[in-house]
Amino acid sequence: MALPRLTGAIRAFGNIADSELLEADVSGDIGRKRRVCADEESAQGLTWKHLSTTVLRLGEKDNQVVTKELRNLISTARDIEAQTVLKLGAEIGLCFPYHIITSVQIDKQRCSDGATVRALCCKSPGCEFGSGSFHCLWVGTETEFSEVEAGAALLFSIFKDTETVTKAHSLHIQRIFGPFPSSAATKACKITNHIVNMLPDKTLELLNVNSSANEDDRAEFGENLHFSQRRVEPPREDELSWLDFPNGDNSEPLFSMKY
Amino acid sequence: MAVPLDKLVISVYNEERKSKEQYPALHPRWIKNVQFICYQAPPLDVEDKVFANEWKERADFIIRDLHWLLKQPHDKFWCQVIFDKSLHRCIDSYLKFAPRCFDVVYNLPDDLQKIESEIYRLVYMVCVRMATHKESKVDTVILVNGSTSVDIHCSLSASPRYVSMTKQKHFITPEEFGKILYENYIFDIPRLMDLAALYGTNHTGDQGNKPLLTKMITNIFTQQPNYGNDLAEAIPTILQIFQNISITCGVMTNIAGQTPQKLDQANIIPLVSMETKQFQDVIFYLSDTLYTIWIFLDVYPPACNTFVQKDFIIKLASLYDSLFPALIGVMKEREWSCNSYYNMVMDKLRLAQLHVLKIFRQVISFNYLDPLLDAGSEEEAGSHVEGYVHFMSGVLAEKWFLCHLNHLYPFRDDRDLLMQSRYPIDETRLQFILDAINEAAATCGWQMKSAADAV
Repeated sequence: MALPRLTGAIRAFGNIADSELLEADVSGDIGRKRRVCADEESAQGLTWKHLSTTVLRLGEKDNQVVTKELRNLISTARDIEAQTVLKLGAEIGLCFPYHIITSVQIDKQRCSDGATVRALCCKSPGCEFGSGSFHCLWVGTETEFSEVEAGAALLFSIFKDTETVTKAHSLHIQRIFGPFPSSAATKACKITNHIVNMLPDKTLELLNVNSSANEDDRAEFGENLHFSQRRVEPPREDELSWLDFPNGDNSEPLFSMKY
Repeated sequence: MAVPLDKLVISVYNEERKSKEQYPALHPRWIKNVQFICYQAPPLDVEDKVFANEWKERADFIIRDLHWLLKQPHDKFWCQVIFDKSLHRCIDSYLKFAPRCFDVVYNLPDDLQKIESEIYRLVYMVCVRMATHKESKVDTVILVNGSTSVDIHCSLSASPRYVSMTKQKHFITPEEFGKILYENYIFDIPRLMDLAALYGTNHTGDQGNKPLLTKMITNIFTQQPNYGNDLAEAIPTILQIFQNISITCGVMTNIAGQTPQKLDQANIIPLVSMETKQFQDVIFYLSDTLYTIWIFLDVYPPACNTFVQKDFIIKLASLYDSLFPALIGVMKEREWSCNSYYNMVMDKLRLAQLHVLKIFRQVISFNYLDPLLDAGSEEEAGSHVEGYVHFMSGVLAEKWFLCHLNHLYPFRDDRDLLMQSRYPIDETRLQFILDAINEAAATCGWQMKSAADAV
């Protein structure tokens, strides 16, 4: 809970601050942020189409094996995304966890910011949460499948040069998908390694795409500015005891352990 | 010749329409959809891994985005700052919710502390850049023969990126800079106060971030005088806050209004039986309010001009004598769960007291004592002396305030200074103040101490 502050009161009552920011809603902003990150990675990175055609064209072994591993990668990406959908559902106030329903009951919902929720929801009359409650579940549609493909391509990009899942990899995946089971990341890493091993040398170069390296190399404002992290401890009560009111009640405080 | 960013126009060749279109360099067209996210204070219970991980994830996004923002060239940075509301929300949330040096100490584990420290630095750097209208020798957009226009090719659907080609000074016209800051709420008075509270604290052995912060805030007030008016508008709100705290504590005051406010005794919970959480919040609120005012005046002393209005400091002295004895008395009467909790709340209360004295002194010193010896004429010196006497005379009825103020800032030193001025002050007026201080000390049973004993 926020501590009471002078500046909070001036913001609320002073009529001199941006009133639009008074009720900043943090619920769901991480979900929106993940979508932006995912879109950005998709726009800049490796596409599923490029990945699958390259791999199928250059794969040394039986295409059926390659196809199977590509499918496995898609399936793993879907597992990771499904976790995100549940998380997203909880963030925008839909019920959690989901329950399975038939397609007849499916009703698409929208987020408060107008973006379509990637989960599909139901209004099951027998729902334990009561009439009108929405339950999230993962049902693949065409649009959503393209998102899974983008996720699978991203997993391939992350794991193509490594055989282990490091903390940095996990953070990268979490930034895009949100919390996910670590077993899914390990599985995606194994599948990617298997696919890479079936490819001839230098194929990976064909799968490398432009990144935002240029931006990362730029100098950052403030790098040369002095900055002090140290914060001063305020004086202790005994140093300020001269601020007492000696005519007042000077009795010792009563202590009890009942709180 | 360099062109100010606010005058720079960029010509875009629209391949779909086969025509040239012009856009100002400061235009929402050039922003990137970053979706900056809001900051939340670190979890109090760091053992709760779910909350700790959520906080880390949120913090990680903020750190990445602020690094990205600080790497942007001058023009891109300013487009994002002006037109991206999510950035405003992010910075505002940090300034509002980031822990202050006087907040209950968070025992954050090293990894969380490292993250918190990084955001602390990044937000400061973003604010420094937002308060700077002139940057030098940073990569910039192409400038053709010193013209005010830049040609680039792109389609309407894509957000074009223009390549840095030259190094030169970047700036925004000072008048336009002031307008941009004010009209887009890039800074406002609460944010400036938050900045002072977060970064203005003196550091042991050096001045810390205060010198640069002072420059920043001075530049903001200089380029946009409307901030001075806003500060004056904040004064009644601050007085109302003190009034509300007094009412909550069941103390009758006349701080905010013209007529004494009657207390509705039926709705007032006696301080001694008030819920611990509510009582603690009252103390924390009071402490935060007084610290924030003091540190703001310390970082930006010209604001002292505003705090003499509406007899602000006289009302503060009145609050001191009516509210603090009641609170200190109740502190000792209430039951506390443990000694350390009592000490923590008492520390806050003492600091609040101390800052009342410091605010009063800061305002008096800046407006009347500091400029006294440099006064060029008797008339000028006279206005400073009369100002000092007016405010000291206004607080003579506040016995405890006088005792404690005199302990921290002995009146005899002020009297010596006043006697050295060009203005021939009537000594009996100063003697009258001294007599009132002595009488207050006698009434309160206060032992006069030397200034060396004081903090």
